[in-house]
Amino acid sequence: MLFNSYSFFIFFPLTVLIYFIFPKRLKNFWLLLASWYFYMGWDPRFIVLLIGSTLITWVGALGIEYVREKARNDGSTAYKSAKYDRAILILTLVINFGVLFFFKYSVFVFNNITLTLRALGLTLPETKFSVILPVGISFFTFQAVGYTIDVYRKDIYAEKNFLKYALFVAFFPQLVAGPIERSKNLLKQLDKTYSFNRDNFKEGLLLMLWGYFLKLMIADRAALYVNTVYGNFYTYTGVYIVMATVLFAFQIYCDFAGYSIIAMGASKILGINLMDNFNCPYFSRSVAEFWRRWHISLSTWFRDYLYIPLGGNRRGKHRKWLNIMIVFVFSGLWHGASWGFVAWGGLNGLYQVFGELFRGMSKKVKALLEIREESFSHKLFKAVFTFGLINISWIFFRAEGFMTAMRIGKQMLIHPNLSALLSGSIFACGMPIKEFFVLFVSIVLLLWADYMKYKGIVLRKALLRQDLWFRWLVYAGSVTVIAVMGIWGSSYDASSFIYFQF
Amino acid sequence: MKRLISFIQNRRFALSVLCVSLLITGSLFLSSKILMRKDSIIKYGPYYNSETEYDVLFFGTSHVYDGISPIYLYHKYGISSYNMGMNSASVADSYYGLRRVIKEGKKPHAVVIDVYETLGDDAGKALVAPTHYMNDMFPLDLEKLRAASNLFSDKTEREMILFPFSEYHNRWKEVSRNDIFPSENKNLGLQILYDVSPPDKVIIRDRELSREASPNQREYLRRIKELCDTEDIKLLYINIPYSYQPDFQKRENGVYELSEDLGVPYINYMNEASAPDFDIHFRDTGHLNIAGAHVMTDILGKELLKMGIPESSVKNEQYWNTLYEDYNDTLLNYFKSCKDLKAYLSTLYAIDPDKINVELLIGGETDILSDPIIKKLIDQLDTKGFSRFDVRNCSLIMSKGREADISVIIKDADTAKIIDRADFDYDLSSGIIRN
Repeated sequence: MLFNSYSFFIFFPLTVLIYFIFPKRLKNFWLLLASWYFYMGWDPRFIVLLIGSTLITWVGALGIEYVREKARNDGSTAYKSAKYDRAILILTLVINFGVLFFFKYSVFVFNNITLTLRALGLTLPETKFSVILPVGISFFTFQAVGYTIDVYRKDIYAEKNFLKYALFVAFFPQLVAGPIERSKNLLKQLDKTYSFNRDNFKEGLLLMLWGYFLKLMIADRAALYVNTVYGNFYTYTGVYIVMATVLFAFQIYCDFAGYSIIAMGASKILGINLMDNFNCPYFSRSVAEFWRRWHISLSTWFRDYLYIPLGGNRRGKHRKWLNIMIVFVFSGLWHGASWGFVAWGGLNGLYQVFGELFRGMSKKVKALLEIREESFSHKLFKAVFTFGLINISWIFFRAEGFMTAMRIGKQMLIHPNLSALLSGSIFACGMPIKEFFVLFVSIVLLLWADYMKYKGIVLRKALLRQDLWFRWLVYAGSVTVIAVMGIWGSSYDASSFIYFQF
Repeated sequence: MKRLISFIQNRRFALSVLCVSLLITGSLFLSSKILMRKDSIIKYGPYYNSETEYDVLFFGTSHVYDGISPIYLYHKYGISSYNMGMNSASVADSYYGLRRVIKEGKKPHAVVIDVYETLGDDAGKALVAPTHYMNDMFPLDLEKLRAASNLFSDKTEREMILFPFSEYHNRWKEVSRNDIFPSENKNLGLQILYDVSPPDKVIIRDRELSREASPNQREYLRRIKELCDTEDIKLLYINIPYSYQPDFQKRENGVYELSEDLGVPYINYMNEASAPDFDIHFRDTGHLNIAGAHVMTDILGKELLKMGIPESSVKNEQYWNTLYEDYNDTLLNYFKSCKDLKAYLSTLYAIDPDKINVELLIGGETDILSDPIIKKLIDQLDTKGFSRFDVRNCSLIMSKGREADISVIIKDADTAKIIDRADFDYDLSSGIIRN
């Protein structure tokens, strides 16, 4: 079920209403049923996977605690206990990642093995191998696995109540596209049940409204341009590809952040706070900072469960660089089974390694040119430079595969066609000029809102402090503008949320 | 439950939510009204919003939409009618259109359905556009729901009919004055086509050459019959001529058998000698021009009288006279902009012969009358019965400093004032053009 589908607009108010009507003991049970129903809205068969993953990690975590408890009671050595609980952890991880591997990576691996063998001169029979990728599998697998590791690390106790744990894994606002919640944040909140709260209701609705603005006004509108150019890149020249790539940067940001914000809003109405997944990423002044602000729940997951266990930055700079590369290649693979995503992740890793390598030289150049780190011009330069680097990596993310991305890059450099900028034809590509104008104004609004957030001003809270008539006008006006000018309905081929595929 | 009650009791907040909801609903309602395509209101608004009773309704595709003139029908036979035809409308659309008419309490004495099949082998499957046109002006109700769910299996198509805003909201970039103050069809549903273009004649005149009409088509023809029986409405199936799609023509021959089964009279004008002339009465392969529409209306009028359809019982002569005057004015206004001799002569045929005198000056040097279509068009005018129709040969017609081949002068029959004068010249490259 998509957040921008009619069914969600029936499902969500009903779920919320019943949640607040139900007695305390049934609230979480109701949310769990609603969450499973939400997931089944896509393909009912794969609910088995979700419940399976939930059961395995729940039993796994209980098992880890059980062997530790037993070892303590039996007076066994810590070594023996550690042996068994690690075995359980490994088994849980192997099963969960095994399922993820099968559904997400088996075709990729199979195809690459076949290609390699063919390249080596072996003749193989034509075999078609395809697997349907269950929606949100990467999200709920990572969330469930993160919980098991937390229990293993003794950061939290294993949850004994299956319903509560199942709700933690399946909580519908963040089930299929994140944020990937941490047990310490979400599971604890599920200990309590919540009554209707006006402030949460208002704030939640405002968050959802902003999320829909990002998705329907910016992401899906930018997609009209981006899909036209990337779908026929060989007929477009440099400036068109640059424009499409810049618009894709906003498309993917607004698509994913839009989903996360709607999820946060929906959850807030129910009284539950989800983590913020994006924090003004395009104001970052380095790629490393960008990754602290972009898809925060995934970045911190990789930091806590992969980068730090690999040694982080504690084992010298070379090992640190290697760890960065490992994390980013895995991050690329998490997004999709293709060499394009690997290249995208690898490129982001390389940016950071090179950033470290040239840090000394950069300092010398700044000293030589008397550049002040805190000057506005320098900050702006760094932000624009970082945005440029990120945009280059987005080509690998958006293009259909690594080779296509390389061809797009080549096409962009060989035929820049700057005259398209002067003739204005660049603005009317895949969409009428009026659509482009609305997109432009919406992006300006987004950047202003992000700038306010960057400065620590929460706009929705500022709005809630305004007079009643003004708030009403803003609410009604925003809903109308989104409903009228948003990209939705049968006249547009509205895009699904991009991160659903991951 | 206690919480719900306490929530409701929190009146200020509830009132605030209510006000915002009302504001949003009002704003969306207004937006949807402005952004809705106005074709439905333009076409059907005059019918549903009028207090006049229309005794006969014509349903069908563009063949009906362009081919039957209710104003002319009333003028000639005193039968009040409305043209409900719509481009690409299926028989199923006509069925739901008739249901809507009955639901709105506007029961006619008779219904005439054109059985032309629009979709070849998928005949009977509805298209979204005509269903839109026939339903958009009505709010979401059971009738609309029934039509959408029976006509469309595709979820998106159903959504487009039931919630047109989902499709029309993207019209924000093309909103014009007409969206706020929509005009209405002043011809009781007729769409006037002017040009003359003889179609390629692929006509099956042998009614034995038939194929069974598509099951869906047959089913809806049957349903229409049942509905008419229940409501005591006379029913006539017709097929307005056209000149293509042999397979369709065979299917329309197949309707004979069904009409006999159902006991519904069926006139397939493809097989009738009195049908419109393919040389001069068509705008293209399938659509009658205004002269053709008058010929077709004339034929149908006689048939309706034979069926016992009475002259309109409600004699609102002023209403009909005004309509007829405006109708003639619309046609007369066309001449000013008409550049094509054939269209000009064809449209002249549709003007009330008591209102104008026509003079035709033919240049001495010209061989324009060797064109059989022009010859036929002039001969047709000769039979029209204008109070004065002169065809004169002139040795020289000068127009705007150059010689013209033919000149048409239209004068007001009462005042003899020239309404329009058109001089046409034969040009080798572009044919006959107006000077």
